Amino acid sequence: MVRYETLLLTTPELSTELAEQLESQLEAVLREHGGVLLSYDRWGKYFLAFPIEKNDYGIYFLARFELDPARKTEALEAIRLFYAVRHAETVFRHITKSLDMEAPLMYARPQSLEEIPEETEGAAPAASEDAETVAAA
Amino acid sequence: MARKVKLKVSTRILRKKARRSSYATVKHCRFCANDATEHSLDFKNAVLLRTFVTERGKILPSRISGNCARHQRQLTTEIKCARTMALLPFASGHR
Repeated sequence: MVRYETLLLTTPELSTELAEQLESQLEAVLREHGGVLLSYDRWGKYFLAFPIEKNDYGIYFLARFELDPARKTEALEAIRLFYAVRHAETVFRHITKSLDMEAPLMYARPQSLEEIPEETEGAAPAASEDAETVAAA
Repeated sequence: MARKVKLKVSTRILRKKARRSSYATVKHCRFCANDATEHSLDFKNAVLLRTFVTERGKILPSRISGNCARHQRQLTTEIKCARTMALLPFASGHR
């Protein structure tokens, strides 16, 4: 098996039902092409480095999956079409990269807006926006 | 009157080299240090990648960052992926 990960950037107005649909439909696409979904993490809402389609915010999701090496090309094309055609309106950007099978599944990501505690008057300043968050997959 | 003797070119270059190396700090590639730092070089780790770009969003050259050629190439790829995913800016002044 070969391991891959896909990072998704979706519209900030994504409903919970649609987010669940994205996960279940991806799992179905993978199953159809002999793949297995390992993890599906919701990173949360982020302030984007530049506006995309007039949106300053976006929600990131990280999916990790394993594919059969003999069918990986068709599976990756199916995943690309799934995001670029079927969910073209909700998914702004997506990127799929291969992962090393021996590499640890831990990864670091920037802190999302939902994780930053709200600043209150007189209280100590809140954690920096750039603080690093380590997530286990 | 003492006359200043002009040194040979090779001697002048050697002295210049010695003078420069005497106070230049030796830079090391931080990703070559251990496996943990090498694995941290990833397009998702925008906090780390931000330390290798300027305020304008340009990638720092390896002569300033001290990275080895292999890791500088890898870092460039990761920064470009992070830019595609809007984790890092392409340039300043987007807003």
